[in-house]
Order: sequence, then C-alpha cells, then structure tokens
Amino acid sequence: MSDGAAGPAEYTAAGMFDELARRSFVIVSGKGGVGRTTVAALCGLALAERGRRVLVATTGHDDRLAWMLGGEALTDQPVRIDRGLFIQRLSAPACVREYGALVLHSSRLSTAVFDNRVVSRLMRAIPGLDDFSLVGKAWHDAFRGGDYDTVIFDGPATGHLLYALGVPRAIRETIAPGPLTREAELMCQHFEDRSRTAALLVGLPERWPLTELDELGLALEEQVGIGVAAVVVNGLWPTDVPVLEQIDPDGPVGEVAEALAQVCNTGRRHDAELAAWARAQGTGRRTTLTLPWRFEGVGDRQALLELLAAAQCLTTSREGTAGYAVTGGGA
Amino acid sequence: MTMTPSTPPSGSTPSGGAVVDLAPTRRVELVVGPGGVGKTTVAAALALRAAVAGRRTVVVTIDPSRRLAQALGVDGDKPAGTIVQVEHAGAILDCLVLDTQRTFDTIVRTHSPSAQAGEAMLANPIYRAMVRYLGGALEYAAIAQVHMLAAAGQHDLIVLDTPPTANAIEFLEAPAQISEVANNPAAKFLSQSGGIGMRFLGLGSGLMLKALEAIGGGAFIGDLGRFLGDFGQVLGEFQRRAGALAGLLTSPSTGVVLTTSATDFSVREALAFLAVLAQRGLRIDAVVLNRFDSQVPRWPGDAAVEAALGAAATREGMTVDVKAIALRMAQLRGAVERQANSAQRGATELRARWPTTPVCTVARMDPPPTSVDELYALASALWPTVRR
Repeated sequence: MSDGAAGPAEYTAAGMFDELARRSFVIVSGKGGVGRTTVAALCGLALAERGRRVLVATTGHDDRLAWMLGGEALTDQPVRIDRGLFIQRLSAPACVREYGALVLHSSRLSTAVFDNRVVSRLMRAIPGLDDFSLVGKAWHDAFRGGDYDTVIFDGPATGHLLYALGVPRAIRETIAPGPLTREAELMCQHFEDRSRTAALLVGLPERWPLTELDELGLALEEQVGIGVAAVVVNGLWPTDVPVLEQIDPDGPVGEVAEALAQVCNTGRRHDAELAAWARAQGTGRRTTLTLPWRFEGVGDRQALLELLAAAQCLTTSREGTAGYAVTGGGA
Repeated sequence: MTMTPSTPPSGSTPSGGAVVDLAPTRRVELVVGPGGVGKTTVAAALALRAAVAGRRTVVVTIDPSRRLAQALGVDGDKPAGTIVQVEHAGAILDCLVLDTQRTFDTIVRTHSPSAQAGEAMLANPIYRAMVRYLGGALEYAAIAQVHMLAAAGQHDLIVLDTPPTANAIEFLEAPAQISEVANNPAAKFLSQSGGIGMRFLGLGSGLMLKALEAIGGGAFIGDLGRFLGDFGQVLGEFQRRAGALAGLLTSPSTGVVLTTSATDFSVREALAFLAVLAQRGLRIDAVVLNRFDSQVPRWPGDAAVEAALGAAATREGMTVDVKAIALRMAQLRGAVERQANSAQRGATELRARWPTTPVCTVARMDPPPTSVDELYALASALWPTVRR
C-alpha cells in the first residue's frame, strides 16, 4: 500500500480497514499525545466489524482503552469486549513470566523462578528484555497463539518503539546462536513480511509533526523492516462554518461568529498543512486517513463509533460534505 | 518559585490563573508530565524567562519536536549532547539535547578504575545495548546530566525537560533501578562463575541456570554478570562523588513544574502524578494547564443568528441556507462549550485539591510557538517576575 500501487478500494476509510484486516499484526505508532490508543481502539472496532477475531494489546498504564471500547478495566489477561474483540494490557513482568513458562514447559516453575525477587531484579538488568518480552508476547499472539486473526499493538511512543522493535535484530546480531536468536530470527522474518505485518502511523495536522511522521515511517522501514500501511492524521478542526464578512462584529451575533471563524481558521490551517505535506510526498504518497478533532474528547464507545464514521481518506475531498449550499461570493 | 496573589484572567489575555515567580533558591527545575502536552515548550519558556532575568540558565531537553528544536537552534549540524546558545533580548540561554550514550560514556570514562578498563567497557556489546535498550537508562542519563551540569557550576539554574515516562513512578525510580541492577546479588553470583550456591535465593542453582539459559543462552548470562559487576563499580564511583542521584530529586533547591493538558482525563492523571511526587518529597512549584480553551461565545438565540446571517448574506449578494448554517453554528458552539467546561472543571478540581500550588493556564496557541519571540511571550505570561 505504501509503494504507490494503491487500488481504488483503498481510497476510502473502509477500504483501508479492509486492507488492514488481511494482516496478522498491526503496529500503531506515533509520538506521545497524538491519539495512538484512540486509533488502536478504532482499528479494533473496524476489524471486528469485518468478522475478524481481534486483540488490541496496549502497553499503556491507564484504562482508557477499556473505557473507549465500553469495558471496565484492563488486565494482564485478555478480556472479551464483544464477539470478536478482545483487549489486554501487556506488562513486562507478566510477559517475561509467560515467556519463561513457554521455554520451561511449566508455568509453576516459571513463576517460582521469575517471581523470585533477586531473579526479577536480574531480569530487569538485561538490556532490552522488557521490550523484547512485550513485543515478543504481541508477536506470539499474532503469529503462533492461534487465538486471534489480527493483533493490534498499541505500543510505546515513537523513539521507544523503534528501540523495542529493533531488539530482535540486535539479538540476532550480538548474541551467540541459541534459543533466543532462533526466536529473534523468526520475529524479524514475520515483521519484514509486508503481507502479514503493517504499521499504522498516527500524527497531528501540523507541519513538523507530519514531517516527523515521514521520518518515523522511513525509520520503521529501514531500521526494522516494517512496512507502513497508512498514516492517520488525527484532530483536524472543522472548516464548515461559512465566513460571512458582512456580519456586524459589534452586533449580537458578532461574538459567536468571530469565535467560530477562529475555530474554522484553525481547521483551514490544518487542511493547508496537510495539503502541503501531501504535495511534498509526490508519488511516494502514503494512504492517509483523517479523523476530526473531537471537542468533547473520546471517552466512550459511542464517541469512538462516531469518530470511525467520520474517518475519511485524504483523497476524498472535505468540500461539499456539509448539508447546505453556499453560492455567489463570500470566502 | 513562590506563589503570588492570583490574578484573574483578563478578557484580552486568555492565559492566566495563578502566576508564579522564580525563587532564587531554586537551582534545578524539573518539568514533568505526560507526552504530547507541550512539556518541552514550557521547559524552554521557563528557561528563557530565567535567562532574560539574568540567571545563567541551561535547558536540557529530550527529543524536542522539530518545531522547538528549530526555535532553539538545536536542529542544525551540532551533535546532541553539546550546548547550543540561544540569544534573546541580550540574554543567552544554553540548550542541550540529551544524548544518553554520550552521558553514560562520560561517566564510564571518568569513573573507570583505569583508562584501559574504561575503553574496554565502552567497547562491550552489552554496554552498547544497555545504553540503548535498558528500561530506565534514559531517565538515569537525564538526572546524571543534571548532576554533571550542577557539578560544573557554570549555571545558576538547570531546567530539565523530563523524559515522557508513562507514569511518575517510572521517572522517580529510574536512578534507583539502574543502580540496583548494577549491584544485583544474582549478577555477582554469575560473574563469579557459579562459585557461590544459590540457596540464599531460595532456588536450586540448577533451576535458576536452566531458566536463564533458556532465556538468554549460558554464555550471554555469564558475560552479563561480569559486565554488571564492572558497571556497578563505575556507577558506584560516580555516585560516591556526585552524591546519590535520588537525593537530587528531593533536594530543597529542586522544584517541579507539572505540565498537562486541560481535559478531564489529563487532570485525573495529573492528580495521581502530583500525589506521587508529593509523597516522595518533591517540591511542586506550579501546575501548568496547557491548551486551555476557556472562552465560550454567547449564543444570542436561533432567531437572532438566522436574522443576522440573512442580512449579511443579502449585503454580500449571496444565497445561503440560513437555518442550516445557524444549526451548524449552534452545534459547533455547543462543542466548544463542552470543551471549555471540561477544561474549567479540571482547573477547578486541581485548585481545590492543591490549594497552595499555583495552577497556571495557557491558552491554546494556533499555530503553536515556532520562534524564540513567541516562546518568550508565553514565558512572560507564565512567569511575570523572576527574583534574583
């Protein structure tokens, strides 16, 4: 999808989710505060709607993912939200213990070893083990566990994620061949398989954040071999209140007209930043999905469904979507 | 910083709430908060304000956005880990982008038992991996960097833009965590090639080694043990000379500015963050609520809006569906109002729970600040006075 050979089906949000639904492992990435968890939840809903058995696994510390999808709280165990949609929190100690149970063929032994205070401290001293166990757990569920069709990984923010995904390669390159390197090699192969693993990048409609998103996409492709399926630009402010210049600024309607014009100016600036970014990408342009800014936040499932319904592909014009006609002059 | 009587926000300056001034006793200011809330912007603004007020100031940032890096001039060909100077109003602000590896390399070079031992450690693949991949390494390096700057004595104030940890505890515990891994009894056992039994761990040594070999391979675990032994000595020497890093956080000359966005959810997170900070003995100087949208335009009524729209359209020679536009305006105004209410609720709750802490609000800036001048305008609103 990222190589410019996009078919017409991809020029809609639904087409993009159809495309993602064919993957086993979807990695949601972006800087802090851009809405990664929201996008992961959105993607989970969209894929479950398509009949996929989906796990949304987050490394976040709060329960927002659960609230958004209509659940109570997140735990170390997968929780079913509805038919095919599951959520889970991935925490490093639990993942290390689970990995230990796999290699020791006994969860009792694994618990005895890894819950030991001194051993758990040593485990924390192994560089990359925490990240490796988190990524490894998500990878295991996506490719070997057999419980899910797709695992959506809501991992750490940009820089940290690159490190975490780079651990298998680092292991392959620095450690003597053994059980760990075999696992790492397999992980690398699965990550590099564009038909099974895809990244979904999330960013904001501002100039530099979009540029940084391009850099993240390149880094993912070059440093860890993961292909970018699409870019989600989150939080576009609205543009659809017409500016009527003849409204008396000192009249009773002046204040609200001015305030909403300001809001729409921000929206138009967002559109302009997005358009400039898209132009700069030229033919190498990535499939891009836009999500509107929600003034009231995304606090529950209803909000998420509304957001999903409002998702648009960048190639679909935002013009003409409002339910009123404006003719003649004006802005 | 100390609190000054709070001034109500005036109609023309949307930023406001309590205002704070920098107390001369502060040598280190930690700017903390979740990712994506403008923490680096607030840290840079605070540092710039102090610099213009005549204090020799350095701001240490971690992975600044390109926008800010350009504003601060740290985006050029200068490598991370070197100080870049920004000039504003005749004052100089030192800016340093944290380079984790360089910080650890400096510690290793300075505190190894010999130059040869130092070079050997720098070349150790486990060391290279540790600097990149060990949880807590970035946080440790940030605090160590502040220590080094403090020891160098070139600055009156060091502002640290803290790493965007998922929660407060991660940042606060990082120094202890890194020191602890280096002094781990299991590592000592491993480095001595199994000479001591593992009974004190409450485990059979056979089981322990089987588990570790399954995880990492026997050779790797032995190398790791030897490395941790050597690295523990280096860190021990660094901390013996610098004083415990954890002590820096709770020192009376260290203050904290918590930055967050003004939504119900962020405020709930911030309250939990503040509780942990206070419990650990850190001094909270201010809370900055960023992107605080509090202005709600009055709705003059559907009829008045439709009439005004109709009249304006006629004057402009346009035909418009005034009812549809008025409806959309009402919807959007409602959304703006809900956003403002959420921000207000957050600010009110913060002030109620932390009555003696200044809670400052910063209006959303659109577009976000991209120049030193804009940063300084933000800084002046937040810190009107700085005492020398």
